[in-house]
Amino acid sequence: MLQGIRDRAHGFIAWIIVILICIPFALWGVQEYLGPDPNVAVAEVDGDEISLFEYRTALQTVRASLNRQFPGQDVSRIFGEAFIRNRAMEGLVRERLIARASSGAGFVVSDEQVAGAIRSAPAFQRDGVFSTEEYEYALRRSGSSPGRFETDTRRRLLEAQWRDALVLSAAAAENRVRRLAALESQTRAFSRLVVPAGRFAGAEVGEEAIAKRYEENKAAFLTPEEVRLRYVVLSRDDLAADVEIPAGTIEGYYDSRKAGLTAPEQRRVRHILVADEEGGEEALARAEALRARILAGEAFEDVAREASDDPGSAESGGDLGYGGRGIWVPPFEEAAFSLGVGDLSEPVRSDFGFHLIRVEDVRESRTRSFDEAKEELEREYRSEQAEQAYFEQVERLSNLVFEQPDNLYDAAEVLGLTVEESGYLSRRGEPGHEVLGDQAVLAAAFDEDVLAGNNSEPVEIEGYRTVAVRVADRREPRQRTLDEVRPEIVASLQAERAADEVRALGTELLGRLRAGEGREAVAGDLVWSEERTVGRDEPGLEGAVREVLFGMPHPGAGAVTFDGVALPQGDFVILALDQVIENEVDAESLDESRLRLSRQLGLDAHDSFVAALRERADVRVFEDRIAVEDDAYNR
Amino acid sequence: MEVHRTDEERLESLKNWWSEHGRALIGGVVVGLAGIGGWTFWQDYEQGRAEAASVLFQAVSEAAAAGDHAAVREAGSALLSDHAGHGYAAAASLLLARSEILEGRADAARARLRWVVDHAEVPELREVARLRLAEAAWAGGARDEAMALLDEAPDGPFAAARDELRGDLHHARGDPDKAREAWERSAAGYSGSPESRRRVTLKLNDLGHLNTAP
Repeated sequence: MLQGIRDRAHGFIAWIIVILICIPFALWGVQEYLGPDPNVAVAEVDGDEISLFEYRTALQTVRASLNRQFPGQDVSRIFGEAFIRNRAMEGLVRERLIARASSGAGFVVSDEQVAGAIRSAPAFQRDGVFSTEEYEYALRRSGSSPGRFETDTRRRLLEAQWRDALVLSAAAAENRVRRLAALESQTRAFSRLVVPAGRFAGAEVGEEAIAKRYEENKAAFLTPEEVRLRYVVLSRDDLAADVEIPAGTIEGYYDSRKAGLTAPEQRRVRHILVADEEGGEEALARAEALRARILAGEAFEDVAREASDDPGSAESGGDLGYGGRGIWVPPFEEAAFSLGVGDLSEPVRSDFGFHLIRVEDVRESRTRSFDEAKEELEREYRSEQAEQAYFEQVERLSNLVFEQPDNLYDAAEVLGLTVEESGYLSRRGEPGHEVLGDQAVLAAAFDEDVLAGNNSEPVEIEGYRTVAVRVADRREPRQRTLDEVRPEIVASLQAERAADEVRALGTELLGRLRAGEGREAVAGDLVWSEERTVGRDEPGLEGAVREVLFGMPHPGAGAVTFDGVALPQGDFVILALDQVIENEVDAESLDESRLRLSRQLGLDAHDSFVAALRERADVRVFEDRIAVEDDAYNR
Repeated sequence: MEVHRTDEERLESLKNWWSEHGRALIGGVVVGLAGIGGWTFWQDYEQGRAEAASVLFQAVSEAAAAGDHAAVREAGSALLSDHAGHGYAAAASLLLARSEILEGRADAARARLRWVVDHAEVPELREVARLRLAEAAWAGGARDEAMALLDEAPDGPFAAARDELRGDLHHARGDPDKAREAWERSAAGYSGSPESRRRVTLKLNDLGHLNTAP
């Protein structure tokens, strides 16, 4: 027998086998050459890998959330790519650290807990009841799937358990709460003496001082560099208006898009669950008994309300709402999609136990007719075509402005655009103008190469538009003469001198007060304000004054503390602190302080907890693999 | 090794081998399968236990969020008696201690926190408990014990919170210089927590300092 195999192994069958075995070896690793493998690890947390795919998804999520916070703005420009990348990576590492802490502490979340959380989420409810239809719809809209959403939910529940363990559990000690509340509600009684900035205004300024200031700061006294620009704007919306739709195109488009215009079959289902994960005889018997009661004439809804073990649907008579395929566990789905309307199923076994299922209503799969969809398809077609044309034209514009770097007219003529002109602009541009106020356009206009007389590279601005600019005329910065800037210099020298004098006088008066001289004697022709008692949040008190006032040492009984502060507009304020008043804190604000302090201590504990996990873990980020990804993104 | 000429001889030696070692082989396979089965069963059992503890913990935290201390105690003691060795026991103990502090049963809370300091599996959880134990000890008048707890803790991310508490202790003792020193360290350490930095700065400012030098 064995001999037989050996004999025949010389034949052509043997060759086929050898060739078949060769194929996988030959192709092994070929995907390495076809682009970055999405499963490649971009970071590791104690050996637990974070894949390129996850990182990309996290990047998208971070971008999307920033875009929501700053609608209509280029978030990569505001925050910088490095910030966004770092935030995405930190988020992933944090998730992994918490996941590792979970497995270290044996934290788990069961399937039932996940199901419970999904069922009780208001986003998936209609009229206060979980609706599989809403659930499906919400997931489709966010581009998720039940499997992925359940995994996310499980992770979120675990993270919530840690938050409860660390944040919710914080309870600030009563003496700390009282001390904080007392500090926050503290008030201080004070009066002030102001040496006004105007007291030394209009001082004589000597000609040499003016000349000296001019010479020393010549570089600051330049007119700004200005340019007059020519530019062209390429816009997708302009192109869309010109798209012609050849006869029959939309019909073909309709055929190819049919799947997207079809609403899949949906069924509204009620069920009664007899929970029993083992699927035991007893549970089956109970399910049979319930079935018999319904067949004998009892209303399905009533039996569901009374006996169903599914807490999410029992109250609504077992109603699960409309659902399509892919939502329910397989045996359930099979039954739900094979029953006729109004029929009652045999007990159906799933991982949860036995279900009795009744189909209430069927929404047949329906495809929108051509006439119904025509307008929408035309619109879609136009913007799709225009978008293609737009990107092609951007490409051509890019080549044209590069090949003919000394003018824009050639490019404009080829692409059917108009060359527009601006007035003279400084680097600030024309604020509010959609092209000439755009920072990227201005940066391009003041680029060295463009100032030298070449066309700029095309710059993309908001709303699918691309701009190319060149400098039509340039005004170099020019030295302003002494006579031109004299008023500016005189004003600033006077202000400086006045501020110095005010400060010197203020400091002198302060010294005399601290030395024990009487308030009125020190004031001279200046006037002390009435005594005033203020809290920390007192409106109408200058920020600098408040800060100094509440940082002053407590005066002893019958004593006064003096301090002073120069305000930005030049006044010097002398403060006399007469009394620090510890106010009675009422129960309500004490409660508020307790909640706030406890919560903050909890949040800090959670942050420190994660930071400590990170210190203990071996976290590695493979920057080179991320860099490859960035190149791909920028291209 | 013997050389076999024919299939018959080969078959014969195979049969001999089987009669000699067959039982041992079957025995080995049976033991192996039983081992795998036992391991799977054990894993399922552990998973089930952990899920039960998780459900109890969820009950504890829901009760805590609702401020229902009696329910916290009920679900918490069920968790602690059935799953004393589990990670959830330490986490639930922190929530139990919170309820006890809010109910004014400080001694019970301190015992609870001490247990977490001594028994929690996750070292970071111990540090959280140690910090809270020090705070509770101070609130109960045991300043020396509080200070000793703060001093025995290892350095690391919890240092800012510890320094704040140290400052509070020094201040309560009437030692503003040491309080200032500790709070300044704390304010610097709270770099990622603006609200806490504000709170510590408030305390620092209240110690007093002059803006314009004499």
